[in-house]
Amino acid sequence: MKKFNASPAGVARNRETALLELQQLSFSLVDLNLFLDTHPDNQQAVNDYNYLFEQYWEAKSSFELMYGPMNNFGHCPASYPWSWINDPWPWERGGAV
Amino acid sequence: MWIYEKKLQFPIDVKCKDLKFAKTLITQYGGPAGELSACLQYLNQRFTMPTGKTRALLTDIGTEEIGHMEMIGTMVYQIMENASMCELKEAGLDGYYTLHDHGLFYSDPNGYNWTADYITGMGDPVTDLTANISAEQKAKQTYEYLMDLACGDESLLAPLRFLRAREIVHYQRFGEALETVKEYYNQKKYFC
Repeated sequence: MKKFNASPAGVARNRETALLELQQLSFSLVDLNLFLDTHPDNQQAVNDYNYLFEQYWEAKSSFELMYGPMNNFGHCPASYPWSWINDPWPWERGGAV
Repeated sequence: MWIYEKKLQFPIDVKCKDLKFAKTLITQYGGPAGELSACLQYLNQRFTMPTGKTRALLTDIGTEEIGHMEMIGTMVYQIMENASMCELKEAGLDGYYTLHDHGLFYSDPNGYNWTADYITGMGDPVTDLTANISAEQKAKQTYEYLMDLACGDESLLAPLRFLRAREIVHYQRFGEALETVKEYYNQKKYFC
């Protein structure tokens, strides 16, 4: 596992920034997803979706590498020990932002 | 099948301890126009939707609503976390405490628990989509009332603004879906 030299506060701030970027990208995808459900022939929206998908996937992979998995299966390999159980959960302070 | 993602759809970090507000906000958790009603209504209706577009849309909006339920749960939890007995009593949450402690529950501000009677599933796609347009409008209105009650606290207002805006987008998408369903039935008249 990668080690950081940053202070705990610094790590938390970086996590917050990385999570916000991920939230912004995944929100764009959710919104385009709904738009495409009713406009499946919109080429520009499909292009936007694919453009954002690549950025999202990259951001998600690097977030998971640093801060643990986002999903319990199928999206990223498991580390030892199993880190899915680690805090913070989204409703906890420091987890939601 | 669903897969959980360990993040909120929108960042939440509630700074205030407005327990009276938590008592009203819980309506979007387990009240009539709340997020539980929305997600169960849409995910249930999708089985009898007639087109790929409508089956997809109900699946996707229904799924997003589960994420909204998590946002409301997070806000209520963060306001109520560490609230003392006196503070709970003062906010009129003593009845709530008796039944649920500091836990979340699918209830409304007046203590009525969630019921399937809140939701619509008539099995007719036009009826159901029309009910969904109405549901989104009711939720939008509820968010506006909640924003009036949020006393200018930005840590409450920002997620409420986001959720209100999502109701508008869902309303728009359901409207489009309703039009395509009507077209689909009109076409069937000529080609069946």
